[in-house]
Amino acid sequence: MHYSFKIILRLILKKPVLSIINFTGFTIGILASLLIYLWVYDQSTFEKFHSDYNRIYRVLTLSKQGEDIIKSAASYQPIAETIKKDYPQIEAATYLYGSSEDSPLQFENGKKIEARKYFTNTDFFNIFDGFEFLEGNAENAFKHKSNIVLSEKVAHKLFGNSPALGKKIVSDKYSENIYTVSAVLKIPRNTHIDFGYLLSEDNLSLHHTTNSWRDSYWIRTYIKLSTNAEINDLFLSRISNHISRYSNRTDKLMFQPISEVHLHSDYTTNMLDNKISNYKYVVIFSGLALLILIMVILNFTILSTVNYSEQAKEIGIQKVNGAKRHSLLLQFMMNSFLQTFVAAFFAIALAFVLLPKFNELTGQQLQINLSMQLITYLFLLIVFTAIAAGLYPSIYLSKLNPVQILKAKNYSGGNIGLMNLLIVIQFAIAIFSISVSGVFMKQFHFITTKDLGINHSNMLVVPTGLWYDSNSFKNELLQNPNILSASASTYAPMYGGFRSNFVVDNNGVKDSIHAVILHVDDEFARNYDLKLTKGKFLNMNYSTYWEEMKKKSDDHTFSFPVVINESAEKLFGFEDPIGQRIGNNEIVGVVKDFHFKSLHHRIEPLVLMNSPENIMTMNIRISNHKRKESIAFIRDTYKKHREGREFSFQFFDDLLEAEYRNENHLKNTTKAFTILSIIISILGMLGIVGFVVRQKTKEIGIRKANGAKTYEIIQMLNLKFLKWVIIAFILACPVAWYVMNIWLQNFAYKTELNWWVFALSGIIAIGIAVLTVTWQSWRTAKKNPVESLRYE
Amino acid sequence: MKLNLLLSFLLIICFSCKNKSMKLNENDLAQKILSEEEILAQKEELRLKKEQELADSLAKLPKGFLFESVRKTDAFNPPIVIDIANRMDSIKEFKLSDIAQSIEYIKMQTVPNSSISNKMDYRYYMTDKYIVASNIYGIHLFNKDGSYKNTVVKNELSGVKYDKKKKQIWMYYANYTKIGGNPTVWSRGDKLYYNYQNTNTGQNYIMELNCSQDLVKMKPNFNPEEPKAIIGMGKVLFDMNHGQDKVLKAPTPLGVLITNPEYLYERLENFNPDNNTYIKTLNQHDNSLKILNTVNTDILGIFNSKGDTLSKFKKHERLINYKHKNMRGFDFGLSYEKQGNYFFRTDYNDTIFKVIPPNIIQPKYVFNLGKYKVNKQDATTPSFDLHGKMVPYEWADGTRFIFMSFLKDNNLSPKSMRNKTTQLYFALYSKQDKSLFIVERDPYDYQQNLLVNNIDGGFPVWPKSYMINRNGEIMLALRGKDIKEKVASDEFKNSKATYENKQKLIDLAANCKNDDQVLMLVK
Repeated sequence: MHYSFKIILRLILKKPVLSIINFTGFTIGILASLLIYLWVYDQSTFEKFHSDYNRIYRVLTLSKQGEDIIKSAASYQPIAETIKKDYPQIEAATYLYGSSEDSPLQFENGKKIEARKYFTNTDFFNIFDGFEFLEGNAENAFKHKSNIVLSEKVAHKLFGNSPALGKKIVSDKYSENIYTVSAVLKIPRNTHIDFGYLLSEDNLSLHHTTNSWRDSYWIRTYIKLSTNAEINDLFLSRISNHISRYSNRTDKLMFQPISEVHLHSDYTTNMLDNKISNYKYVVIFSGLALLILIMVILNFTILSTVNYSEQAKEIGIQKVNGAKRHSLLLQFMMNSFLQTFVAAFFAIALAFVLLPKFNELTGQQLQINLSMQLITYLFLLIVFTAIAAGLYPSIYLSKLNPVQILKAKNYSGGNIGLMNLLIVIQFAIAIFSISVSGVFMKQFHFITTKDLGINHSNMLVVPTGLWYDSNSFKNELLQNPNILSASASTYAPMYGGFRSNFVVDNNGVKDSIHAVILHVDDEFARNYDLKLTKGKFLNMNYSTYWEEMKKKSDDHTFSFPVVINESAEKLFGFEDPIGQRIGNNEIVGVVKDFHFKSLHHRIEPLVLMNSPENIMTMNIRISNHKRKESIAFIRDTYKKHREGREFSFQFFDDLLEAEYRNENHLKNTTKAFTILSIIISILGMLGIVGFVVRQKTKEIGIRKANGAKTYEIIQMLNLKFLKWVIIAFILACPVAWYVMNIWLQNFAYKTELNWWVFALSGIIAIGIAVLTVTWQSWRTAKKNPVESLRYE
Repeated sequence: MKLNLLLSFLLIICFSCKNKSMKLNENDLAQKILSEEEILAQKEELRLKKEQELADSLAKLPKGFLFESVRKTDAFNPPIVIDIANRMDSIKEFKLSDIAQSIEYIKMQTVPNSSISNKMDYRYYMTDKYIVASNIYGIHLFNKDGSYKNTVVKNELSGVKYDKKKKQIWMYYANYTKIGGNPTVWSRGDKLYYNYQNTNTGQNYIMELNCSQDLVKMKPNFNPEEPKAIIGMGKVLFDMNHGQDKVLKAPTPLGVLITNPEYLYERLENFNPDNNTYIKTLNQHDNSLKILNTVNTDILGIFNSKGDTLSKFKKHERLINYKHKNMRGFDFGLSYEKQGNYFFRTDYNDTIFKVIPPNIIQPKYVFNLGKYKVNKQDATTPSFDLHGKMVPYEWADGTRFIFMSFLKDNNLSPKSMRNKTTQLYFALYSKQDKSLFIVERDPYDYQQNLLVNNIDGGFPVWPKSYMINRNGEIMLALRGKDIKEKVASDEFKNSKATYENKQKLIDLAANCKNDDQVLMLVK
């Protein structure tokens, strides 16, 4: 053993370049695998902090909207109560009824903050028992109607580090409500549920309870199955039809395990669904880590094999002197293990150093906790990497015939083929990575620079909470010459609007059509530079609106002007839409299609309506000059008009960027992995070229002695390797094209898969190969042929 | 490396493999939605087409045109003969589980307006979307979970007293007035219909309320300065007086009518099968007889929205030369709506007719009473001995079964019950098997909810004609107090119903106040 160890060390020290290549490769491979493991593990922990997470399901609704069947997490409020009542298989059922806007909260005369309100029932704490009670307990949380449960963040904002339990909080949004803090909950990072504060469902207004089978957009329902629930086809059939039993809707229910919400929510989510990601990213990142590891293992396998071949005589002598095959095998495996273990040690150290940067790249908050699970993973990773890397060289070299070895002057076995294979595989992976990275970057550039059909430069988005009369604020803002324009809307035109159903009477044919409705004021079109193609924009003032609303409550004969987009015009099918009615609304104008959601979504039929009852956002365009002063002015004016309300703002561009955060992280991570794959390819190439050059030292010397020029030597060696890089390119391109084609299908709007992206990847790979070969061969070709031939 | 591969993908595979137990096939469900939507659309299309055809044909009629009334059987769908005479020995024991699978209890939210009396149990009716709960005090809409939605009409009554204990309504004609809706309602799609009357002004309307729209607020209370203002929600669809309102003239101005709520609940005297025509049962005390140009011998008329009489039908069973001072009256016939159609049977008659506007009545069910048959003349004559004779008593037309009962040997009065001179038979007719079975029980036991509840050990069940919803589910009106008493009873405790179902009833009892109204839905 000691002897073997000495031989290994001698080998490592004798071939420092090769050893560095192998060691660096192993370090990179293990580092990449470790980081990806941390990320994948983190993704898989979502919602698993609830003790019965495998019995908890989120209720999904499948419904017909227009011509489509839409799956959604939106749910009806009575589902929780009725489903629990009707099925003994269900132990508990709860719902979260979120508010569409933040509400003010104030402790005595302290700071007034804004937080998101949710209503729920008492089963909430039974189902979600993983939310840690920092203060209070589940039993007393909703003991009284006026109890309020705060999130840790909101409690900290209101009370700092002082205890919150039992303190009175005032919320004076529409009427003054006084709540008593009954609990403070810690919401972990790895959950899709987020709230500012929880109130008991007893606080829901009559409006919400009486329209219960209609309002669904802001509700999420969750169930917990009984321990030994008997789930059979009859039960599933009945429960999927649950809504039909209580209403004339044809909607069907589906059930999503809560642990799948984070990665497998294949439906449109909204503001109630936090931190929703996609399992495809897990697959992509795991795949990339795997490719890196494959490259590293191949590097070691092939370079070790050819390196040992150079030491073949040594192996032959060992064998002649009675070395057994298994002891040689052990020796080679030990080499692999030793290098892998040392590399793993470095990789872990590097992971600690690089983790913050990796977190920045992926937008995660990963930590390395040396848990038993992580240690086991690392151990298994090292063992299997070492075995996978060392297995082939060990078997191949230990079975060599000593007679053949000792007879041959310079034994290199059949390793040329192996080396060519290494070049092809490594460069194929590198070209694949470069192509994928290129397409990611191109798509990211496409979605972040595509014209949305609106002018959003220097646009400030200010959430205001529900604000019936924001006109005076708007008018005062416009007194400032640096405020170019301002308009009010439900949300900034990026978060969509509400889905609504319109009855359209087209030449006597009545049809019920789904469209998105966005409430805006009459300045909205001018503010965002919407292009009007027909008619005029909304011009109804708020007093007319209230008069119409009064009519609506009296006898249902009312009319509101609406503007539609071109997609809606097409869908409604009017020859001339101006003056036509959709439901109780009259179309007064048509605007050119514009994006009111991120580019993940297609432009849908849109109805713009002027309603002060749904204004929750102020969109303010400021001049490029004196931006700081303009923002200060807006803040002061807002505080004057919305006394005590919290002022916050964001630039539209920043909000837009946030919408593409996932893609940005993907792009950055892919870029990093591509660089790693290129480094490993270069290392592999260096190793192989080094070996070949050593093999051809005599040939190069003879050629040079016969008058060959340096560039001819370089050309000869380059051509030898380039053909394999070209084969790698031919193999990698179709795969990369296929994979990227699938990935791009996730986008409603996507960049073209241009040939030049793949050509460029090939050129980069060839460039890298040429530079590597040229550098190595130049060093040898520049040598004096006398020195080269002296080896003979 | 293999493990790394394995680990990396294992997590992903785990996500998709776990919790398969609640997995539903999305494509299958989507197909189901599409087919259900298609069926609904086809139904609505057919209804609208029929309505339009009728409206078109009526519009072409010359003024004053009267159709010849047709009473005929449909050769392709002949009436179903229910052979009572020969099946009296076919006795079979029935329990609730023989006709139903489950029971649901819906606790009705108390109507927020405390000025509306909660003393009387509701008559329930279910539309596609809502539960309509009504009684003499008004009509209210509830969501299907029992949460209150709206009051359609709050009735203004005077001269009416309700004895909660005896469940009797006392109507003193001397000062009886009513402004509001009748408890019998019906619906089509999202539209709810009810009969609105104002005895002070004589207004008599069929009202239509579109429940799909926001029912923003209740109409104002009665205002003496606007005596003709309608205090119910919705719009007038038919003025049944055709503009000639006549103030109610009581038959006995100083008299009093004592009745139980069921009497008011089980009659559907006005009904509009579409928005062009309405059907009205005619009786001699109806003020509108003259207005409608009908006579005493008419039993039913079909009218259009312009006030034209489209057709009239004569009474089947009539009294001839009836000279007795008193009259024995214990069969009042029946009338009900099922799947948008109107059905009726006249008193002491053996045929249930379906009405097809504008002029057809079609026999749908016929009782073969054989030797037990008694005609109206004899049945109403007090001196006639009813021994050995049978008279139809109750009838409820469900989806799979018809629930019916018969009186034998005498009428059902406190005296006959006390002396046990009347036999009360209950029978179940299976629509699938076309077979009739007499329910095994003591015919001298007059308890009418007789199917022993072996589903949850709670209340025994027998449906009233007006308490079967369009899904064929039986509805029973309960009070919190009834439920509390039931779960405390030995009968409940000894019941062999499943623990889970019994527990549900116990939980409900614990969560109910005595006065809470609860709808029991037998499915």
